[in-house]
Amino acid sequence: MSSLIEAIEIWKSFGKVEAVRGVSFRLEAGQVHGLLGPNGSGKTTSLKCIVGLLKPDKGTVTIFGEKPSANNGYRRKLGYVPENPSLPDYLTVEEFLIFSARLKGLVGDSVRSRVSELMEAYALHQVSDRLVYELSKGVRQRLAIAASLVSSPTVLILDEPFNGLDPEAQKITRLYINEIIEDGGGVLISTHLLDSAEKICNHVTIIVDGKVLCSSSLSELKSKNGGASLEEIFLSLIRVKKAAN
Amino acid sequence: MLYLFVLMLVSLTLRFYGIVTGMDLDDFVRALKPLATSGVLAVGVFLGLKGGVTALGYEIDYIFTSNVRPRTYLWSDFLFQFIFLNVFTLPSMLLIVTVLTYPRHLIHLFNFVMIVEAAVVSSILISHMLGLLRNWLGKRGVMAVGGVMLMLVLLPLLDVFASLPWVSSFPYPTNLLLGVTGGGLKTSAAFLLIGGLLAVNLFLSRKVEYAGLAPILTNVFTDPPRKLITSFKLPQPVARFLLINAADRPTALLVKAHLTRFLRDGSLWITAFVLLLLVYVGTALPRALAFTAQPEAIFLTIVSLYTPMIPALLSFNWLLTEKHNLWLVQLSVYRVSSYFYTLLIAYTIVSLIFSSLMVAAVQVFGGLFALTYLDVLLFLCSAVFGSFLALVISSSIKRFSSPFSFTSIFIVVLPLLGSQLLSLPLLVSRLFEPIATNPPAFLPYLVMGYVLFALALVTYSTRDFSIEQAS
Ligand SMILES: Nc1ncnc2c1ncn2[C@@H]1O[C@H](COP(=O)(O)OP(=O)(O)O)[C@@H](O)[C@H]1O
Ligand SMILES: [Mg+2]
Repeated sequence: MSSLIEAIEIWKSFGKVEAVRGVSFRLEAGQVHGLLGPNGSGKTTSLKCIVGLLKPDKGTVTIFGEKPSANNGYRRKLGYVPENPSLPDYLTVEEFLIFSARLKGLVGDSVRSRVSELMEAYALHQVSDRLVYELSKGVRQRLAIAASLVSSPTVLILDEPFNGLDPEAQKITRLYINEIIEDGGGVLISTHLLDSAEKICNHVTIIVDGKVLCSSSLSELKSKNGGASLEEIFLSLIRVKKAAN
Repeated sequence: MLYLFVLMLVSLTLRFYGIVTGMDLDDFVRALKPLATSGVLAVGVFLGLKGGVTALGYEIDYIFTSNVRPRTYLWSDFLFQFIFLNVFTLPSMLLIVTVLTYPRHLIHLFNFVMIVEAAVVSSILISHMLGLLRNWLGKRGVMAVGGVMLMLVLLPLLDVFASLPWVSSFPYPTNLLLGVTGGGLKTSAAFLLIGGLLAVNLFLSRKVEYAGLAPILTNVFTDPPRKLITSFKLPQPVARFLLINAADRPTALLVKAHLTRFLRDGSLWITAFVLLLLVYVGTALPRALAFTAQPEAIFLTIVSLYTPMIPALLSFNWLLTEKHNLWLVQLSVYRVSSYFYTLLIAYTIVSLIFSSLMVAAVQVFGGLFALTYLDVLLFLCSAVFGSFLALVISSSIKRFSSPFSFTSIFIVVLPLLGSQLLSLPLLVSRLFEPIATNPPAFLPYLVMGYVLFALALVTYSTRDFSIEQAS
C-alpha cells in the first residue's frame, strides 16, 4: 500500500526567505506523525504545501497517491486545522459546523448527526448559538478542530493544535485521533511543544531551518538515545547541528 | 476615504445635473460649496462618533504602550488626517471647479480652497472633539452630542435642496465656514468657530488617557453592530430562508453564507449609510434646481450609476474580514470559482434590493412614474457589472491593510466607471434624444442582445475564476 502522504524534496521561498529547503517525508497509515522544530523552521509552510494551499517551488506532494491540485475528491478525506485558524466570525458555532460539513461534501441527515456529535464531544453545545466572533481563543481552537473532524477524515493535519487547547479538549482530540488510526488513517501534527508531542505521536520528523534533521519512529529514536526524553534528544540534535555549522 | 466618497459622488451628481440641465455655472458652484462643506463636516461627526482617532488596532497597541504623550499623538494624528484629506479631496475638487468655471476659475478656486481647508480643519477638530468627549460623557452622551451636531451640520442643505433661503441666514457651522473668504465680520466668524473648536479640543485633551481613545480606522468598516445581531432574531420562516441550512443546495448554501456575512459584519449598514446620503442628495437636487426635462429618467440613471458602489463597499469588507477564510473553500470539495460565482450572486442581490428600495423611495416621495424596460435592464446591468468588477478587483488585490489606502480608490472608482462604460449602450438609449422619445423599432432587440451577451460573458468568466493561492 502506498503512503497516505508523500512529500519529496519540497522547496518554498517567500522572496529572499527560504522557508522550506528540500523537505521529504511520508505519512503512513497508523502513524501519528509529529512534525517538530523550533519556531520559524518551516513546519507551517511545509503543511500548507502538502494540503495544497501553497504551491511548492520545487518538489512533489501526493495525497492518497494523487497530486493535491489534480482533483478535489481527496479533500473530503482530509481534515486540516491551520495555525491560528481564521474562521468566519459571522456564523454561529452550529452554522459553522454545518457549513464545514457541507463544504466537505456531507449531505442529508449525516450532517446534523455528525455536527451534534462533535458539539457534544467538544462541549460546544452551550455556545452553539454564539457567533464565532464572540468565542475565546480556546473555544475557537476547539471549534476549528471539531470542524476538521466533521467529515471523519482519513488524514488529519493539525498545525500547532495545542495553542490554547485545554486538557479536556486535548483528551477528546486524542480519542478522535485513535479512531482515525484504527480506521487505517494517519495524523500529522506540527508543534514546537515537545512533551505534548511525546504523549501523542508514535513517529517524529524534526525540521530545522527548512531541512529535515531526522525522521523515525518515536520508540526507535528513544532506544537509540538510551531512553532519553524527546526534549533532551531534540536539544542534543540541535546542538550537534549548530556545532556542525 | 468616506470624505472622498461623499465628495466625489456629490460632485459627480452635480456635474451630471449640470450637463443634463445646462444649468448656470455660478448656481452650480454656489450649490457645490455648502454641499462640500456640509459633507466634510458630516463625515467628521460620523468619524467622531466612531472614536475620532485614525489609528489601526495594532498601532494603538504599539503607541499606547510607548511613552509618546497622548496629546502629541493627537497632534500627529491631526496632521496625518489633514494631509490625507487634502490629498484625497483637493485635487478632484479643484479640477471640477476649474473645468466648470473656466475662464473665471481663479477667483472661484481661491474661494474654494479656503472653504475646503476651513471645512477640513473643522471636521478633524470635530471628530477629535467627539472622540475625546467619550472620556467625559461616555458613549451614549457622545452619540447624543453627535446627533445634534449632525443636524446642525446638515440643516443648511435645506436651502440648497428645498430653496429655503431663511436657513442660510442662521449661523450654522457650514454657513460660518462659507464666510471664510467673505472678509471682515464673516471671516472673523469663521475663524472664531475654528478657534472655538481648537480651544475645546485643547481643553479636553488636557488630561486625556489612551484608554479613553478608540481607533476608528478598522471600526468604521468592520465593526459589526453587535447589539443588533445578538438581540435581533429573524422570524423563523425568514431565518430558514436566509440563514444557512444543512439541506441547502450548494449554490444556495454559499450565497446564504455571503448574505449572512453582509448582515452580521456591519458592511451592509455602512453601505446603507453611504447610499442613503446619496439618495438624499439625488432626490432633493432636481427639485432644488427646478429643471423639468425627464426628471425621473435622470434620477433612475443616477441610481443605476451609483449602484456599483454597493459591491465596491462590500468588497472592502471582503478584503478585511473574509479573504483569510478562503482556506476553508480551497480545501473543500467545492471549487473556488463557485465561491466567487456565489459572491457575484450575493453582491447582485444586495445591489438590486438597494436600487429597488431607492426607486420605491422616490416613487413614494417624488410621485409615481412608470419604469421602462430600459430602466429595469439598466438596474440589472449596473448591479451585475458593478458586482463583477468589484469581485475582479478585490480578488486581485494582494495586500490590503485598510480602507484608508490608495488601493481603495481603485476598488471604488473602477467598478463605478467600468459599469458605466459597460452600461453605455443602455444609457444612450434611455437618455439621449431623439432615441429616448422616439426609439427605432429594432432598439429593444439590440439592447436585449447586448445585455444577454454581456451577462453571459460575466457569468462565464466568473465560472472560471480562481485566486492566487493563500499564503
Ligand atoms: N507568507 C510569508 N511571507 C514571508 N515569509 C514567510 C511567510 N510565511 C512564512 N514565512 C517565513 O518562513 C519561515 C518559516 O515559517 P513557518 O513555516 O511559519 O515556520 P514554523 O511553522 O516552523 O514556525 C519563517 O522564517 C517565516 O518568517
Ligand atoms: Mg508554524
